[in-house]
Amino acid sequence: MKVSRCTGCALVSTGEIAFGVVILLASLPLLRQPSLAEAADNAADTAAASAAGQYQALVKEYEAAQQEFSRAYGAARTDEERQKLSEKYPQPQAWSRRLLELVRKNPKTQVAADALIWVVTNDRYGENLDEALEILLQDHVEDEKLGQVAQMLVYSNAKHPETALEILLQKNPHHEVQGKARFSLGLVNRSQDKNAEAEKLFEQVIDRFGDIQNYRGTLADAARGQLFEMRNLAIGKIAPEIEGEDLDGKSFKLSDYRGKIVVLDFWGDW
Amino acid sequence: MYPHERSLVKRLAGKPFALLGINSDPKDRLKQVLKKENMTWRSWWDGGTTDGPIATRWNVSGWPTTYVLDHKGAIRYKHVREKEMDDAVDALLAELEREQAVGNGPKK
Repeated sequence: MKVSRCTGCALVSTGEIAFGVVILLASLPLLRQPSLAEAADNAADTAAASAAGQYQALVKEYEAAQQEFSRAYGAARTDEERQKLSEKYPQPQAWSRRLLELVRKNPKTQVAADALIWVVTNDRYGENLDEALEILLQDHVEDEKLGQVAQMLVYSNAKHPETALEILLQKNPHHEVQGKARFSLGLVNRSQDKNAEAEKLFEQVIDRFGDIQNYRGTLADAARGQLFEMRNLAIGKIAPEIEGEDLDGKSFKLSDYRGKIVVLDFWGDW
Repeated sequence: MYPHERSLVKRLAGKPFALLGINSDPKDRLKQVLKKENMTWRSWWDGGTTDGPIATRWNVSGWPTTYVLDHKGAIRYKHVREKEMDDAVDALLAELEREQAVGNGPKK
């Protein structure tokens, strides 16, 4: 809203003050006129702010529930206690439902996009996943935050992860999303034994999207790892040599055990 | 997991079989657990993190991950646990014994 300034006021003579006041009063409705549009803007702003507030409150509430669960679980002393507690694990589904309500009331807004991304990445095995994914791809397919969705889809029970990933590849303009969607589509193809398709996608990731950060290292590292596994660690391949030291610093090699049946167990005590 | 592996190693003592670990724990933790769980089989220590050189080369992204190799060093099974692991190892031992029986059989 513009600030009203009466530049002529200091110059008006005493006799003209009344006139000046009239002018001022008369101009008030004019000056206030933008407030109609403004009121509508403000109402939209308030709604957006309250929708954003509701979204943040829901996410915080979920995180608090998770933290409380971890605290209680960590404090549990017996397996029985832990077993009992695990039944009370805060399932993301309860929050997904409320977030989807928020999405329905505020369709096609950034809050809706964020809420849908939350559902798709946190409630990956819940019954709301496919619906959330569908709205996300319909209304927010160009959102730059969809990289994490592309990553997580592989670890979800989405009915058609490959279709969603292909839509992202066609319609999302962001480099990171393009790279992550390609890598994930490679993983999906691999899991379906479409190895030639998978290899092609991993090669593309290395050539064009290798710079993107992944969970560990870059997408190029991850794609090279996939290709190495497909080409050298498949059933029937001779296992690559392992050379290293045991806990006491004594060296030994996998090939020392040739002639024996060997179980390799990648493990950790956690 | 540990009890199953202990029993597998015990059952196949004296057979041409080895269980080898690739461990991602910090050293002190590994030391404790080897003792506590009475683990008699060997493990490579992979640098104390899941990003160690062996796990990275083998593209491991979930733990535990298992591979079963035959006596020629070929990968024959992946991601087997418990009874599946037992069955895989037993099948490969039987295969090895058959091969040896043929190899050592009476000469014509």
